[in-house]
Amino acid sequence: MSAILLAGLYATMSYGLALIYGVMKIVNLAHAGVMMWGAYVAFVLITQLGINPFLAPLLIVPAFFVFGRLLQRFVVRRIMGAPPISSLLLLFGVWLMMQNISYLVFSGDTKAITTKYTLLTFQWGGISISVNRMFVFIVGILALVALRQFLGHTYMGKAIRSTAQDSDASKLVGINTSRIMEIAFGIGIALASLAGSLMALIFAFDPDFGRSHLLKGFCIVVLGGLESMIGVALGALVLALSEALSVLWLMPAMQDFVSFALLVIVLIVMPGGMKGLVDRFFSK
Amino acid sequence: MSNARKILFAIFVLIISFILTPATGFSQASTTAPKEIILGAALPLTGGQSREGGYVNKAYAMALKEINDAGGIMVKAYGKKIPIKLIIYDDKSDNTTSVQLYEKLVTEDKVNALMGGYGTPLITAHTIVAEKYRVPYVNGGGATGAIYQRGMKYIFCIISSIEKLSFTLMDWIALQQNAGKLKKPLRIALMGENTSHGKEFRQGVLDKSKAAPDRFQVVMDEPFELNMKDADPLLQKVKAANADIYLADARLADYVTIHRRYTEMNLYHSIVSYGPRGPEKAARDALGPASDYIISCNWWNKDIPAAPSKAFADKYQKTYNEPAEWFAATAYEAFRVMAKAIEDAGTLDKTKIRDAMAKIDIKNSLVVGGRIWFEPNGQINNDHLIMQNMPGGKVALIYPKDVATAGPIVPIPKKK
Amino acid sequence: MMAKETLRSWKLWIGVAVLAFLVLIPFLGILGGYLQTLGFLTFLYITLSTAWNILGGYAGQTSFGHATFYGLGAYTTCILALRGVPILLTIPIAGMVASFYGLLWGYPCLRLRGQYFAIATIGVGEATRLLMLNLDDLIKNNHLLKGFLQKGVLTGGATGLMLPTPEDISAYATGFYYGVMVLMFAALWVSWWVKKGKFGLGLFAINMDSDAAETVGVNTTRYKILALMLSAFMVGISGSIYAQYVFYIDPQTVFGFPMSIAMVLMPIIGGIGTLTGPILGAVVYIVVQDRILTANLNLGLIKLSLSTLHLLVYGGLLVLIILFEPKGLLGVHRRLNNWLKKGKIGSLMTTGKV
Repeated sequence: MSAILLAGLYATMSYGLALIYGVMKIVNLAHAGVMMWGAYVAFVLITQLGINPFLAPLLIVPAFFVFGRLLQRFVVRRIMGAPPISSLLLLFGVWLMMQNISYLVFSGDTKAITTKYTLLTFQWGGISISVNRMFVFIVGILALVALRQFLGHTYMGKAIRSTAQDSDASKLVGINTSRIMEIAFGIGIALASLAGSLMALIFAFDPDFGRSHLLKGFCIVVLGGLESMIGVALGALVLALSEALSVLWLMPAMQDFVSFALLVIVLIVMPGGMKGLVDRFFSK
Repeated sequence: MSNARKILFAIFVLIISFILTPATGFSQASTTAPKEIILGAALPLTGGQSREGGYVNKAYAMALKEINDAGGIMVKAYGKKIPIKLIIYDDKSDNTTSVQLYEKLVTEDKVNALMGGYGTPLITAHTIVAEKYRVPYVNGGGATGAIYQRGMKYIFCIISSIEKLSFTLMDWIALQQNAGKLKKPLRIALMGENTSHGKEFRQGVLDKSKAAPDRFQVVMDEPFELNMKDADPLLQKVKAANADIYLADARLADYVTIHRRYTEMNLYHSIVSYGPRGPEKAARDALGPASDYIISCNWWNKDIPAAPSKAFADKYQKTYNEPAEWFAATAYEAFRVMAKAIEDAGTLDKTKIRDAMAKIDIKNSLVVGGRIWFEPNGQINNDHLIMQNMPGGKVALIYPKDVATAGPIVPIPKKK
Repeated sequence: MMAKETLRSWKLWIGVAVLAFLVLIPFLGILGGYLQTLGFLTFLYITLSTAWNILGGYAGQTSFGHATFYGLGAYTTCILALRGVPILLTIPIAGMVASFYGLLWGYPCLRLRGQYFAIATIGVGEATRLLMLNLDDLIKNNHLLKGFLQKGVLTGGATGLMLPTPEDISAYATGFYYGVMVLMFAALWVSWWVKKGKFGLGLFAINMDSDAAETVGVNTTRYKILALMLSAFMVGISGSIYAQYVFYIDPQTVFGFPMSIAMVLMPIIGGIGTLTGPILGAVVYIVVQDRILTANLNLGLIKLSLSTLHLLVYGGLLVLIILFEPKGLLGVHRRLNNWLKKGKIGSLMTTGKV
């Protein structure tokens, strides 16, 4: 059961990664930094300003959307034509800078957010479930639904999808691709900050926060097939379940190993991810 | 452009950067008194150990100011007090950098003695440098016994090993068994972070259990990776093990994650301990009443009533507006130990300082038991402190008797 | 003509002077002898940087997992040395073990394109680190493999492995200084030899357009794997040397992600895909970092010393380089040169002398 909640958490932290990769084929290593900043901003909002922890994301997300757009416009856009490794390294550099700024402002101290909801649980079928984790899970589902709606049924969403598929053709039909990319990047960053502000409720964090989450995010995005949000959610579920099950016959200390091994195996064996597998299966 | 030219350019950059930055060393004449005594340390101010490194840095600063305000260290060979200059570098919690920086401190900065850093891997690596150049080194932050079992002569440590820590805890539990508060044998669920710290802790518990199987039975023993995301699988194992007491060794972030889940799952054990963790303010804030009754075994606590300890705790609180943690206290004391060793030696000769350090016997220190002296291997061998978190954010010291402020509450009360 | 000849001999003399300087460093006691340690680290990192560049620069396959080779080299040496194998013999073995490991995961992974390969290397790097961290616990209950444990330790897990320190460490350190200098020159020679040969040509072709290279008959898979194995061999040996110099290794240091990152940063900063770019990058990484970042004396009080900004500096440098000069510092140098030359030619033309 906790694996399912964990899956919700994993999914939330992977949507942003998937979106940016899907639209711009950019691997956003700064995703970890954004999650970390999301957590710190949530920390400040909740502990210093006393804002309700469940409402804090509402403030954080739009702010980071703007940040993401600015980042794309002034930094990322310049290397749009370059080989993909450039964007990888560029965003890695951005991540390093974000870490240092956090060190300067907050010091390396581990911080945690405690609210009256922190240890609250409710019983369900004999299992105690943490309220915070449930909240994160619900948000994860809501985000999935919202994203699907957005991508599938709004003009902006469709524009994003078409740019992802074929940016030249999209230009031909009149879509302002550069603006679309900017917006997509902004959304991706906003999603990362959402994940960070939520995870701050559950985990203690420091400026190095996000690194291991980032790597799991990769696994999930790769598992899920890089093209669809449902794929991401499914990928998250598969990862969480396999981690939980692996504890039965593998040392708990090797849990992370499972996700990395899975990442490499999936990359090699199923580049289309699970959705690709499912698609192929259904098209027979 | 030819390759030679490029290599030239590289060397050019090298030379320019040497010329532009002034040398940080200080050459000393041998007969006239030096202007300053130079001490140096590389601390983890960024990276994984930056939290503790920050405290150590502040503690050293406080000790430095105290000594320099009084004029410095009295060095008999020159007949006067000489102030200290302390050089601190950031080793980024990285072994290679730590080794490099200690080399720098010894060779380029020409320190008279070295102060320790924090963090077992870092200390294991860089103590080799101190020994290599025969520079005395003392720290208050690397407890792992293995560091001091390498036959080194110049390395000293004022905190007892983690192995001893787990022994102390187990012995205390045995005392509770004798007093009838806990039954015999006790089933133990054990886990520890997958670092040398955690391993030594678990090994200590296992050793004691093997030596007294009528008292202790370890029914579960698991290492776990740092930065845990989900403590559930591990704690499910704990639940299934059906143990009487629960012993763990974790650093702050994991302690919070694990114990939150422990509380959510409504687990119960007669004794709950996270090794040296427990009373930290950050943890008590993060866990609230869930952190009550947790027993921790440690090297120092701000509530020790003895005068030297209290003096430090108050001063630290006043200076930095935050309560001191144990590594701050031991770092501060390590600095003062070094100063005393130099004073005892009466000279700045490194070997004489080292000899004075080996013979040192300080009676009114803030460490548990009040006395600092070193075993032949350079590590102190004093008692640890056992404390228990009490409701209301308070902490009771429950062992050893001469510093105890209250009796322990064992077994810990069940939650309603 | 005449000017060119004198120019060339001038370069030669400077080169000899530099070489002499490097050889004499242990005797000059500059910076109290610290320059020797710096020199050791610089040479070691130049080797790493050059090795990575063969795969990442020439062949264009960015690997974020090179620390696995470094770590394997270090651990191979320690494990064998602790079991009585003469330590110098372990050096080539370390290289071969690393190389073989490269073949093992390289073969399936190198089929992946560009950034997928990069991501896969991150996965391999972390997975290897976790494996080495837990190997002892994993095999201690396995009857077959238990025999590898010596006093319950194979890799030492989190505690790491310690090598016994020799009696006269100073002479030992000096010996290693020269040893690593030889290693560096060997690595540079290999890099130069690869670059000018058919192998290098194939690698560059793969870098530019893998499919096109395949069509003209380059066996891309084999070339990529060979590049990886060569790179791994050199990095493995470097790891072995490191272990013998520092006498203590643990998984976080030698297998950790920061180590892999360092190996990527250096060639990029210096100039990826060139022969001397990695040299420049390593020099910048080690020497300039040491000089400038520690120049601010922190007298124990809470002052803002430059060392707390090192992440900002690296990150910023990386960002700037990617944005403005992907060819790294060498590229900047080249541009400066061109700009100066243009000025000269311009003035020559206007004065009528060509």
